[in-house]
Amino acid sequence: MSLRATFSPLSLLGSRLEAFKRDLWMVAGDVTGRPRASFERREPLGRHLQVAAPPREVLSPRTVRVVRVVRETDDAVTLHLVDAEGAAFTFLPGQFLTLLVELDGETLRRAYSICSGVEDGGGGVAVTVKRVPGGRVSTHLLTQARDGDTLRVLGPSGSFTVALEPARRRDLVLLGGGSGITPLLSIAKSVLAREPFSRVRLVFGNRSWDEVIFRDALAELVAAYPGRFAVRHVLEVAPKGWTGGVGRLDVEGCGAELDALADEAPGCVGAQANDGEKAVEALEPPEVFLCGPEGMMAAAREALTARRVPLSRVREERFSSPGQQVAARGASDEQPLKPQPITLQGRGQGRVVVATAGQTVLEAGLRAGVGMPFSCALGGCGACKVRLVEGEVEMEEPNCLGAEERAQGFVLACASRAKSAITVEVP
Amino acid sequence: MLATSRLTNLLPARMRSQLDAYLEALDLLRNIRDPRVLAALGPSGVRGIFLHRGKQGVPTQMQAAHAAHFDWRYPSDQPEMAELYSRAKEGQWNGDSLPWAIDVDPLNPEVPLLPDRFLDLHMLEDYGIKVSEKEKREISYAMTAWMLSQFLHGEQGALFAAAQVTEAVQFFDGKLYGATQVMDEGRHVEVFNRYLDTKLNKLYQINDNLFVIIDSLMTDGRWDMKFLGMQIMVEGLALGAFGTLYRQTREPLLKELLKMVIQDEARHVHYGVCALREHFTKHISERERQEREDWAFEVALLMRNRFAAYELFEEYFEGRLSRANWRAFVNRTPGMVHFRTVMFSRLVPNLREIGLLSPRVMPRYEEAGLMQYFGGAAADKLTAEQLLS
Repeated sequence: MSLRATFSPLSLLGSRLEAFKRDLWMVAGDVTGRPRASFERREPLGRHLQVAAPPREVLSPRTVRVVRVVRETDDAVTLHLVDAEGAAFTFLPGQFLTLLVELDGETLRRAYSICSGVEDGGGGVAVTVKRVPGGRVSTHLLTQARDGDTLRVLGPSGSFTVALEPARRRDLVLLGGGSGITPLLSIAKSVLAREPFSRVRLVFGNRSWDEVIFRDALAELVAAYPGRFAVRHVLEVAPKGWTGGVGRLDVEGCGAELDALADEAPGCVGAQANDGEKAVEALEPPEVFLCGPEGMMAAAREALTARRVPLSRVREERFSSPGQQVAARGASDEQPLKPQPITLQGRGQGRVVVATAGQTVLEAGLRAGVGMPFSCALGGCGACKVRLVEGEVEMEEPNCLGAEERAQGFVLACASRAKSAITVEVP
Repeated sequence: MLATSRLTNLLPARMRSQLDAYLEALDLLRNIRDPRVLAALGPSGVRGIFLHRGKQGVPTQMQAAHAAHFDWRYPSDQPEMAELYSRAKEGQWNGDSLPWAIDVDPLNPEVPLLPDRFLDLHMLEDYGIKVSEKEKREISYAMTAWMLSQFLHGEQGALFAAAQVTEAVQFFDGKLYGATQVMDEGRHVEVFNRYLDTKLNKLYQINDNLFVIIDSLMTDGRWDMKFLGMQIMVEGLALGAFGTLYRQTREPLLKELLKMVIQDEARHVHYGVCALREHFTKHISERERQEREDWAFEVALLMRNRFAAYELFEEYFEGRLSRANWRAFVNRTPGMVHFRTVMFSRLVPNLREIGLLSPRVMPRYEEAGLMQYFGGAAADKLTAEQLLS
């Protein structure tokens, strides 16, 4: 994973020389009668996918119908969804949907990453749900979801994504753990299908073989894109005769895997290249996409930093929902939260609502019928940010708020719980 | 002649076509009479036709050498351009609002992109080539993708040329108008690119002759040459092509897209006519005018004969048909005949109107069969409705 800059004082001369070589190559091609391809296959670019999404999809829920439920493992199902009105889903690989699930008269929001690739077709989209211990929504979906059910969803949203460009020559390294595979699968499928010169390598950690989601889908991808896609499974508990990696993806584990990738032959993907020149061009420096449990992500970050991979080439998706974090929180020895009054100024018109113990500011506000803005409801998009005027909140970290916004007193309504009576201003 | 063709017939098909391409290029250069025009077009010709700079698969750098013309007094100098500016502001539209949800199946015979007679493949039987129904549909699809790809490349040229002209022009009202044209061209790039990427899924490389024209006017330091090249010649070509395709396609999204684009183009040519009429009749010497007159004639010829969709020929017919026969076929096919008629019936009156079709050059137009268009209405007398009718 060498990521050295390649500047040299001779670069200007070098680029002239390159241009001259290209001219010569063209003339030689004409003189020798080398056949040429005068067109290229094109697919919608990131730009087109983005503009295709009308704004309402992000701001208000749309209704979707479950058309197929696929059991991936004992603890994970994939739900294939189509728009109830037949509109096509447009999304970028790696984005998530926020599902609004009605349970006991309450609307619960959970984000699930899209696992389908943008090439999959059919106009629908698939999300994968993994059971979270004690998680109401995931357990409900896992046990109750049936074909024909309808759900409301928000999104797609999220910025853990790639802007597909057929001419790119990416060297993507995907590092996933458990259900963190979901957005990575979408990215892998989409990049392989849309970028014929890019290479994708996946390192996928799981406790055991039985818990590996998308085993078959991954194997099919390997077969479909020989030389351009590789998977390395790393298991904590390996079955007999296992030839893949063994161990945890902790700092050493991640480090060893990264070193092994770096030792592989430098990529030159020419599988579908139709002109001789392009096939020998080197790949871009590696880009790393991380998605998995927080422990694995922290370890991966540390291992990458130790290998001097610039953070600008590392992208992360934190794969947790408020429900999971509350569960995690319960285990700590912090004071349990109590019900608190919340005064909502600005768009909230001064209304006072009461948040039950552990309810987020957003949940409390929406519950009371205040039209608070929000989108992902998971601390990932910033749509719900409010200014904390008075009082104290506990905000889930990490989230998408920037340092400047924090300094101005903004908090995310979807990720904040009142620790005292608070006043917030809804923009 | 017989001897050369017997010799060349021994060569492999690809090389035979290449020889034809070289002969065609030499023929073009040899026919330029004015050495200054040759000097202006020659280097671009080498870069486009011999070095295929537009087909190298890497971005192309073109050095510009014009001066940005500032005026700190902001004069209200050209009422006709001010009027156009005001119309252009009203006429802005959003590319996202086209009906993109329409599904386009390029091979569906029920909703043809182009009518069969556009590229009348039956005519190839004269050369002993039979084309199956399936192949016909594919070629029709390829032809549409080829044309739209050239439109897209042309619009990229127009975008940068419009920006350069906006910097260089000396009329202040023209600069304000020019800003709207830059926006228009950006939008045209957006919609053609989106149509090709999301509906036809195919993009052809830039045609060498189109590259020559764009290269020549981008690298020319004289703003009025850029202007003449882009606003009159390329826009005239575009109007001819858009108009032809607009009238003939049955695909509703493409039709709507072209309708919106044509309405913008009508303003662009109108602007070209008013700016250049002012400039050529009042601000330049007779010698300079003559040079521009000759340049315009050469480019008109370049546009008449050279957009023969050779890229399509290479894809489908190389080896089955000679390049010269393909050229003869394309130039006779009804779609192309129609396209040339529309293009020249717009272009020739515009050249007359801006003072670049004096009796001095008329015999050459006559010889090229273009004088029949002389009496038509110039762009400043034509409305968008007339262009769409």
